[in-house]
Amino acid sequence: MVALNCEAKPWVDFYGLKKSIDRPFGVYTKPGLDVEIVITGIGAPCMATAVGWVAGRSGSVKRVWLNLGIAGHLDKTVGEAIRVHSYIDGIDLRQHYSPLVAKWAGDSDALMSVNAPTSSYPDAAMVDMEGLSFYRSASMFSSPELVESIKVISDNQENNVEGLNASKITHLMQSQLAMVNRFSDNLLALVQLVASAVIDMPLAALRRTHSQQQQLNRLLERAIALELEQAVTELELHKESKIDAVLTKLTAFIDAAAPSIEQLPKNNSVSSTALRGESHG
Amino acid sequence: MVDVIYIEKDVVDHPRTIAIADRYPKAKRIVIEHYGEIFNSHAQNFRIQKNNPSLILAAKKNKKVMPTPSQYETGGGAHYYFSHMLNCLYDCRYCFLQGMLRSANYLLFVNYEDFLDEIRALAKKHQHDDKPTWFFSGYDCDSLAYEPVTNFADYFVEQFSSIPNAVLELRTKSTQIRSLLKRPAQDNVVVAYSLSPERVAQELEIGAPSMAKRVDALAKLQQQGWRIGLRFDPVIWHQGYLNDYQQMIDLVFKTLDSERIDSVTLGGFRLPKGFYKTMRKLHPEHWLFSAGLDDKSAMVTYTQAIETEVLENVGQMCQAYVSTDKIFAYSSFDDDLQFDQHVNQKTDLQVDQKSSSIGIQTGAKR
Repeated sequence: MVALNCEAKPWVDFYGLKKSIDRPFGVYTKPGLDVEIVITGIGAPCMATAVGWVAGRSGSVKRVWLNLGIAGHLDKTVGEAIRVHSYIDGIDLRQHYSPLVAKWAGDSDALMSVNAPTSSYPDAAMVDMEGLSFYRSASMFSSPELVESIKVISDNQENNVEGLNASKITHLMQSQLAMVNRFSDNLLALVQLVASAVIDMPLAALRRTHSQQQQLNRLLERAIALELEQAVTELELHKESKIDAVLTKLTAFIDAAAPSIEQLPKNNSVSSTALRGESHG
Repeated sequence: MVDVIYIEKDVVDHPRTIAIADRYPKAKRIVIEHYGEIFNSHAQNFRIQKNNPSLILAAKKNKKVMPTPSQYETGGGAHYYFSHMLNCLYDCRYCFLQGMLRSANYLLFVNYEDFLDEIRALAKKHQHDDKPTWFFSGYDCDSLAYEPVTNFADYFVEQFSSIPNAVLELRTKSTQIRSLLKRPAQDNVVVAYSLSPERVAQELEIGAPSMAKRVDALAKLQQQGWRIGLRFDPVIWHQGYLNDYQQMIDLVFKTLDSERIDSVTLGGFRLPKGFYKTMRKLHPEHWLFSAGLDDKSAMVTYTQAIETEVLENVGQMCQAYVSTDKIFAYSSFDDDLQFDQHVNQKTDLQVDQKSSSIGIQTGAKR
């Protein structure tokens, strides 16, 4: 999520992305690539709207959110890339700490988000116009561990914002391309930890309540955990006429299974060959 | 390795803070007002955080030493527990901390002296009791795993030497016993090890030393005269569990002098329902949360038939080596386990969520 085209350009070029959507927000994508760059526009309202729009377009997809952009700082060096470790509301000065799990090789600092451009710098914090809005909005759709911001210092007390232009901003961002890419790889690795597997079951014809759907989902999770996927498909549950019968049959079948130590995935994470299907919808 | 250290501003200059932070010269230090800003914030994901926990150094300001729930008071005498740290270096899949805490960050309270003041005051209150007062450590963290950084045992064991009517029990899976071995064994300290068969340890006790290494540490401690306890809790039901537990128990009791074991405790896998639901969401793919469980009451336990079977079988294995008055079992149900009639039995069906923070607790009679 990037406010300006000139901030995004190094990554659009690096990934070979093309503009696939123009309005309400510019979106750069490439077929087969799980990276999307969204140009949000300047300011908190634009950022919040863009985050909500992105999340709404793709439903329950597990994703990481990364906000890239420039920020000012009293005395940090222009061009330095800094991770945001806390977000400060420029109005009430409340501070929100974000969990820092993905590995980052550089420094971190607080970020104060203000509503209008400013030439004054807060003590011991970067300053921008979108960071807090991004964090608050994106955290509604993903775990906060998967929501991160990297800011590149564009101006400080010695080098004020007056001389900035699109070309200079792109140059500043470009210089941090490799470092940010390493970080985004680390961040993406975390999303595997919250991916969930499902079994494809042809049960769409059976009417059910939300509660019954949850019971079914849980039973299918248990079946996966006990490596009973194949056995469950052989139960021919689609021949049942009511969802209650499916739940009863499935429960009895799974309850009879004792676990085997060997069943535990050795990498302690969800299989990358997760199955998707209608049973969870 | 710790990448980030959060430090409460009130303890920035505490000597223990300085010493601990200096062990991580490359870590980013972030000064905060109160640990709750990091540790208690909503919507954190324990499983993701466990990938790279941060360290939080803080002062514990409210009550530091708590009485154990009555069902855990064993053998008379007063029983208390305290936690100088929340969370653990290990990542045991059955650990209730995943269900109880929002954050996986290591929260270390550096004001040991304040803990000790409360311990001394409580010991004084019980100074005329017939039996010593017990203080348990290691329920919200591992007592020894972080010892090279925290010097927790080094400090508290020394201090307990001057509280004769108090006993300190250190619950652990760690082999970090240098701070104990460098001093003479102390009568009022018990080192209690949680043990699981090697296959279970490898698969469920992620990051913890192997069972064989724990037994080796136990042997070293016992040889030096330290009092030791064995905790087979939770006993994990799985295909082939009888063989796995028999092998472990044979190894343990052939390595250790069973006459000089303080106590042996057993318990089934059990959790308050709220914790269970949280843990299941964190690890929906894991068989531990998917097989053999009864989730119809406030506590999620093995079904009565399974729990009874595993506790009876493992208890009987222990009886072959150690006298029955040293074996204690926690049953989640009211029925009698078919042990030797002298085996001590506790039930914890009514344990509430708060008390369950010491739920994987010894029922040992002292």
